Amino acid sequence: MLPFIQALINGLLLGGIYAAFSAGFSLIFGVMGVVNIANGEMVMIGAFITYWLFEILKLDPFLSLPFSLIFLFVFGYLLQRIIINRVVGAPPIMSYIMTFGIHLTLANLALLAFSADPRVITTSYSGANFSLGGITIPVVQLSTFGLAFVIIGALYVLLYLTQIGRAIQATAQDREMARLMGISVHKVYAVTFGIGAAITGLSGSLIAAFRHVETGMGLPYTIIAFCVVVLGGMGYIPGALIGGLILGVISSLSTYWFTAGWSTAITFFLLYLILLFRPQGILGKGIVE
Amino acid sequence: MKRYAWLIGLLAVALLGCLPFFKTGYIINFLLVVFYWIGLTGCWNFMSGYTGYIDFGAVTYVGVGSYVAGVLTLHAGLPLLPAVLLAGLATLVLALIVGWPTLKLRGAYFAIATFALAEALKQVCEEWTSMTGGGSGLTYSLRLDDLTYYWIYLASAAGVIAMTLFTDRSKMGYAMKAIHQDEHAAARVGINTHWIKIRAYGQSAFFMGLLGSLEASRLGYITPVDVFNVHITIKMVIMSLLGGMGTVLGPVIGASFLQIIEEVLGSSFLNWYLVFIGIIIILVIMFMPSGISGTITARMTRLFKKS
Repeated sequence: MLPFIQALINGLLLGGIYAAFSAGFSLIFGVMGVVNIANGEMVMIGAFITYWLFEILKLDPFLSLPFSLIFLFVFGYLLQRIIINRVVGAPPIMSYIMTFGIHLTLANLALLAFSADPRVITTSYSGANFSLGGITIPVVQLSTFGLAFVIIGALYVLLYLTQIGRAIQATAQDREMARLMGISVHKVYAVTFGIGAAITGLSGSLIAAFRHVETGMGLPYTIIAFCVVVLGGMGYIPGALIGGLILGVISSLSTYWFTAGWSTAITFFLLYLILLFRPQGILGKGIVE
Repeated sequence: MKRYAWLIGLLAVALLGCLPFFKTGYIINFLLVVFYWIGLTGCWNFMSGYTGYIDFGAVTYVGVGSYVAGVLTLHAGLPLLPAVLLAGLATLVLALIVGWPTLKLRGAYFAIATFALAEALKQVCEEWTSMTGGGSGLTYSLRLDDLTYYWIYLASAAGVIAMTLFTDRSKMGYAMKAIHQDEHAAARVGINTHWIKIRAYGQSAFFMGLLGSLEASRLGYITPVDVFNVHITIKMVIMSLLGGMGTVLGPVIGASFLQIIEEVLGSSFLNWYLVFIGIIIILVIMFMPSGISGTITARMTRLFKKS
């Protein structure tokens, strides 16, 4: 029983992180209909910012969060303003291929700049954990899990309680009507992409605290974000939280029962089946074309 | 001009077919790879370019074809060409089974579902060690010689392009284009849209299975990560896009163009090549979204209309 509960807890901890870097993906899809294949690269950039700040300035990973946030917001804003705005409203394939081009460019520029070596951040509290009734809980993962919730909560507040949040929602609901109401749609899109990139980058910084940082890490995270967002319902932000936790638990438990390889296979079959039978997500609140 | 398209095509194929009698070595090996990619891209374009259903898991059929032929030659002792043919049939059947539910999905959902399926099957090949050899790979014991591959690939590429050419002007072709433009309207005028999509999907999967298994035998050694690599799908997508999606000659132009760039840049600066490809993709989508052939055709029409 104990190993099972341990696997369950590990799954939940993992799920929190999954949720955090998928929320931005969901936001961008929900507002613009853009499937951001470069989502994982935002995780990678965030992770590298944290890594280099730690290496050079000995800055604690958790203190590097504001730097990731600001850098990726600006980066995402400019990316949308200059490049991606051109494909909004075009056939969806244009946005997949465009963001794939961005993925290819960023991942390989990073590879040229930083080489393919995996890197690790080792802090004084890296291996620390505490035990609760026989279950081991790593401190870093737990605080990351907590912060993931804070990030999603903040996104929720931003979207529902602020002026810019309402503008984003209005644009998502009816682009033309929003334009008639005096909203600058392209600016809203750029801000949305900036926010999406920023929270994804924050999760990248969090991930850097306990996982390998490497230039090729992006694509696997994009794929996980696909699964999470489909589970929770595409474009529905709280869905990312549910989807992330469910996926974390499923992959942790199936690794516990079978092997890591079969766990991946199961995850993808599940994704496929959910798309076939419940494309609006488990909660039924996702956008369906 | 358009009426003689097939004649010009046939002449080009005949000329290329005679090339090995005059030249050997490097150029033949290079062209063979170009033909392979024209074939694959042609398949992808036939399905996704015409119907607008973006198949992000097309590599499924390359991978399954490679493994079916590999297992048949290795465990069942079949000769290579029958095994390749059976691999094609296996991918056709798989495509019909998979296509039935999957082609009811739309847009991003179809793209992600096909992608998920490819990744799932990759993992199955990875884990099903007794049959596929798992992650350590599978070695083909049978191989044809390079010249035979050259001719087979040439014939397959020509076959796929011919299939596209004849379909383009047929009832099926118009139905596929109608689905691309407005599926509801197409269904309303009496097109069995679901069946048309499944047929296009099956036809393209059949040729992908053939080509995939042949290429696997040419390389001699496959692993799940190689033959189910998402970059194979992406390459088909990019080649179609560069050439022009939903056009007959798009795959020929796109595949030749990208393969030449890869040959020039890829061998010496692999990472810069990938950065460069990324930038090309971004620029093409920003400035010539209808692809190279589409943009040139549009410019030409404008030019001729002026004069």
